[in-house]
Amino acid sequence: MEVRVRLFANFRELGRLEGGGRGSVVIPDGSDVERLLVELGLPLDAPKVVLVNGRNAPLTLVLNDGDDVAIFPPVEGG
Amino acid sequence: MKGWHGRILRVDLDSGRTWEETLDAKTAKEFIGGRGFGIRYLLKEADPKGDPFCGKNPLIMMAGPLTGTGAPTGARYMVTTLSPLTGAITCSNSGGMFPAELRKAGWDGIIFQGKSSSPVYLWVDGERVELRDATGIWGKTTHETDDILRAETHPQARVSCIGPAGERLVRFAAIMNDKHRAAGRSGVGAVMGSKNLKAVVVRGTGKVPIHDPKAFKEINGKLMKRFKETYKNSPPPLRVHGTAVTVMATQNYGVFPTRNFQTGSFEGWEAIHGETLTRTFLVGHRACFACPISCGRVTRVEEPPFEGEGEGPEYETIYALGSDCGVDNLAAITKANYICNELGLDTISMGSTIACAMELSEKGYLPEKDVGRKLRFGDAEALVELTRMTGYREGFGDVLAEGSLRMATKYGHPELAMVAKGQDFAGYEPRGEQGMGLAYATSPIGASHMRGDPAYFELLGVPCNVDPLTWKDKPPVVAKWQDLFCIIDSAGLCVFYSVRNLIKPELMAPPVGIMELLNAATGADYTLRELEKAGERIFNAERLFLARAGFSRKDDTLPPRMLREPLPEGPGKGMVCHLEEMLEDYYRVRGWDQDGIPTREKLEELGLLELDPSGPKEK
Repeated sequence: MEVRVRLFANFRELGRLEGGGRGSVVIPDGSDVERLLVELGLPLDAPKVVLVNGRNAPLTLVLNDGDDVAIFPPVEGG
Repeated sequence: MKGWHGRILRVDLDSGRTWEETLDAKTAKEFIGGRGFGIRYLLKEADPKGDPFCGKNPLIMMAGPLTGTGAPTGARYMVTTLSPLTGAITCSNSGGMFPAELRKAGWDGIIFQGKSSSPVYLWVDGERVELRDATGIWGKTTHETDDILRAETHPQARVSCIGPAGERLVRFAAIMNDKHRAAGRSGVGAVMGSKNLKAVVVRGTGKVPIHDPKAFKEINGKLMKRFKETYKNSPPPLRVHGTAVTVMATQNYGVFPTRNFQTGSFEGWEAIHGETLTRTFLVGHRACFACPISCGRVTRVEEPPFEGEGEGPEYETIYALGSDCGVDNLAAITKANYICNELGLDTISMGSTIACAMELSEKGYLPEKDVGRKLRFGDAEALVELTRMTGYREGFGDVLAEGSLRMATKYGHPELAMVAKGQDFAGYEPRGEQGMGLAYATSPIGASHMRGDPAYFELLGVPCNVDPLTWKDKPPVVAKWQDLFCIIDSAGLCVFYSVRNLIKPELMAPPVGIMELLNAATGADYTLRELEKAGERIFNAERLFLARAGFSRKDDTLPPRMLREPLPEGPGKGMVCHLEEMLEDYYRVRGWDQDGIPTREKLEELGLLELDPSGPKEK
């Protein structure tokens, strides 16, 4: 299956994703968020916010074909 | 007393008299400083139903016991007074260098009362205090004023002042310090203008007394080591991209307010995102006193017709002057930001008021002849020009200067003002972020993100993630964070650093790091419970003041758009803000009655009964 991924701030540089931190990633059916992070080469222990289709997602959430995934670091202020 | 100087500077602008007032240790411990001292004095001295522009309304500037000590981000002060925007209490916070300088000059704060018959400024040179003529600088921008007054006093002095907007009583005029830092919200600058007070200039060469310098140094060292460790691989996102980096979060959650809160997704978001700002106009970053983050943006725009240089924009500015006005031109947003800084305007209320005018105009409620031009969402040139006109109250700017609620009421549609208690929303859509809706409605100063900021746990993963679309779980957490912010704002710290580094990383946010710093600095021996209680006391004191001014549950509300119109798109599609359900629980958690008034038992528990003239008489 294929999911759409967008990386922000320092995760843009940390992740293995061509096209300036955005693009599609092919992963095996039934993969969860953790598997996607490994695929992207992102550290599992680094604090981060993962949104799948605009909702907060735990590492164990199983992804579906066509999902939209956004990943960014926690920021201290807004 | 250590940590606190125990010295408040009093200035009577009617007579020109200045004197020193001492502060007792019990009050200092119970109200901490900054925001806490502000409400303590306001409760004692202000008429809650008084006119904000009348001489009797005190203008209270208070630093915290950690301000100027060298504690990380101990750089802040609070301005407390009656708000000409909301008619209620306001307190507005700022950092930079001025607050630390005030403490180095030997003062915890300054209270102005009365009105000067002609423009003056206050020159505080350590112990020496003098009111000086400011007739020659009346009308100058904040940047010109800063330059002139430092030349007139001391090159290293620090200046806090108003611009033309404060002089003209624009209801959301700011007090600017160090040129680019703003006590921005609720019209504190207009109150200063009404007193004919152009500026406060401070020079301090002393040290802030610390109770246990060795312990204090050790705690600071430990905190700085941990901060460096956290960011050893890449610097803090706030240093790299500024608060503007938050655009990517709110846009992805579908809570990036767009076109006067008609929706929460902005198609032009990438053009105004923090990473875009870094690539385009960023020249450098700037830190406030003793800050390891350094989130300030030094920027320059070379694109005609929006050329300029200065600081900003912050996230809130990008929302208000950008997406909320449908403007995706970052050069125009940045230019309007510079104008706000130089004329002394709150960027949030400025943008939100223009957005409201744009909707009124598009819906046919605001005649083109009144504005003097066709006004539509997305008009970048109108944004910049209307901002300038507001600062000088020129043409339609005179209507905008009254704020969105008064303007929308004038044109028959108050429901289109996106406000709580008359103050404009910050950059978070309450339908897609339920806790923020509750925080806006119950914030004592009217809508504000800085009164508990649920965006931390609802959007930003600090200290953990809580679903922004749920509401039943929010009341106790919002109440706890509102109290936490009272502690941060009173200690003189910055929220940005404190929520990541000075609380135990749990949802209910025990302020253990703040307690350690305060105890080493003051020797007041706060227990965690005492400190949390102080936060609750300050929040309740503000509520007590509001209750005296006639505010109650009827005022803890949001515009009908938030309560009845479903969010049209994004992750929160179909949602409204479930405010009424949250309020029931919230009042219960607070120990307030169902009309939102603190109960006698709660006031007694917090030691506030003696401050409530109506209280002790009841049986």
